[in-house]
Amino acid sequence: MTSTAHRVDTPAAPTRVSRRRVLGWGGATALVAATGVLSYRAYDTAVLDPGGGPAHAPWRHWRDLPGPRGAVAAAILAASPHNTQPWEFAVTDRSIDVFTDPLRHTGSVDPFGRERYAGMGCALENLVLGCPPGGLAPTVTLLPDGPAGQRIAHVELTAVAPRTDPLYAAIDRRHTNRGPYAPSPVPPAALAALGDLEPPEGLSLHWIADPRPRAELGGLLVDAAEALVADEQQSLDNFAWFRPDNDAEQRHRDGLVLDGQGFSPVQLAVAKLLPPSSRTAGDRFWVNATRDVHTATAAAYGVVTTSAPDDRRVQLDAGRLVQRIHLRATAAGIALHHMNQITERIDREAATGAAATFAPRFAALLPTGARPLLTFRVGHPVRDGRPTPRRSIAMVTR
Amino acid sequence: MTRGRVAAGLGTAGALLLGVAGLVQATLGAVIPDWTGDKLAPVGLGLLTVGLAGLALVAARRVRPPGLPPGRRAAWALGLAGPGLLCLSTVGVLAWVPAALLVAAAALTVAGGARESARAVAAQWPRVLLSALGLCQLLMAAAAPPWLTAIGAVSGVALVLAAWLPARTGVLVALVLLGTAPLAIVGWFALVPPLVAVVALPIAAVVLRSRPTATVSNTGKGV
Repeated sequence: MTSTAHRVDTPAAPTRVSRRRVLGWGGATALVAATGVLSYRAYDTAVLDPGGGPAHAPWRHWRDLPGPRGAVAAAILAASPHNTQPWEFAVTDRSIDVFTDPLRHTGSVDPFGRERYAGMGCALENLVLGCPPGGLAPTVTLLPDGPAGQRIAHVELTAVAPRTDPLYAAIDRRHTNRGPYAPSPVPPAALAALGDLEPPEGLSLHWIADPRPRAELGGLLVDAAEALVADEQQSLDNFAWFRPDNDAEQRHRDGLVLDGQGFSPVQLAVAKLLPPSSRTAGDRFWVNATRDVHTATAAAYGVVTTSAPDDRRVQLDAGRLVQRIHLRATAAGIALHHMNQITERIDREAATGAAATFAPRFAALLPTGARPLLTFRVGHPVRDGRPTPRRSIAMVTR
Repeated sequence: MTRGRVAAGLGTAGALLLGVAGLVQATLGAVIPDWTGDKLAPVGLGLLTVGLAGLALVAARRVRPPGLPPGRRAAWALGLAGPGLLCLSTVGVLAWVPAALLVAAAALTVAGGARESARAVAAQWPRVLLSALGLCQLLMAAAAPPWLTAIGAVSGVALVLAAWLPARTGVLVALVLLGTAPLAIVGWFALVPPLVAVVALPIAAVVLRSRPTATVSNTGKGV
């Protein structure tokens, strides 16, 4: 057999292109162009790398540092209002001074700075928990320069044998969970186990788990959210801490981010691929989520109360208490979400001299004389909370 | 002076300036952010820009000879304009002059036979679209964790190769599957990788059906 070569599949290029062919390839081109735009959004928002980048590195490397800096690495992973991280640290081998940064505030949302000091308490609690694994025993002096001083704590360190704590082990798994919670209730014994056996002086923890008061508090939270977004200054001050894209998140390494909104993976991808939402759209989303997700699926609410909500020491202790509760909840597989819009409205009404509408409604749900300081919901999570961006130790040490 | 020589001159100047801009971004990007676009990763973007400048330089050297086939002319014009436009997002203000030079060089490259070049590109349009989807994979992979970057890079290169490689059908089918399935599976949560796969598969089918004429012997083996 002779070996011959022949050409196959050789139609000559058509000189005239059919209209159907043009429309078909025009449509395909448009589809590829749209895919290209979405691919650029996927690149720009790092949708393939949620929780990645330098803004999230402190969550991955917090155990790497020895001694006092290791304790600071634990402190910067604490909760804070709107993730403002209002802290600074001065570190030596024998002590750590903890300062509050007055410029990192939420303005009219927290006019008396109560949440900011509670956030400082959260960081202080993590710092204290972070000392023993590094072979350090902390002795805390609160407000060494008085209530008006920016130094909120002096922590003296002495050498001891290293030891670990279950709460320390939960530090990098603790995230505010704004997603839906499962319908199963959290038993009263489990709720009680989240609090301290002996709460700090001047503070009480109340659980609101029965359906009727829980529904009433849920309604109050929705009303407070609506009032807050209707108050333009509070809405603006809220929005100032929203980081709409990956670039802002990595640059600022603080604030509210899409990853922290409790979305499912698909919801999160859609939210990132869409253009950033406006302030009013974000406000509407928050009110709807408060009504349809946060309050609708809360198994119980915890309220930290005091008779002296303006006392800075009490605010710091309240923050430390809530941080411990959150860490215990994390260790027990229970989700927690800080929800302070009612007290934010109470303080806003007080600061502007408006008639008090939220204070009496909240007081009706609490024991006589108890004034609310911090509020949160708990429940069994449908999905895990996600880490939020953090400033590095180098960025927060003096 | 011929149009090709002018295009080559402009392209070379633009590529060299772009290389300098990339080096400045990599070394001084954090010091002069107003000039370099205030980027989060100036070193990486600077090195990427140097790479793009290298590509533009190669293209600039290839557009000089007269009588280039229209398809090749269009490809080298893309090699000039592509880096010129991309660098606008990598080195900020520093890219303005080199980008203008490179785009002008690209325009001059195709100016003599724009219609022929367009016709050549149109004849290969399915391949162009498939390659564009491969570039989409590469783009997404650039902002992913390292293991996903590796998968995305392989996927992107595989799709581009599937579009242009003169290989057997089985090899091309494997390249298309490699270029779509892995990233679509591991990156499903980002939605776009599965979308790229869904868009790429029918286009790839057309590309495979209308491959350039293959010469086969009667033994059935490609030669």
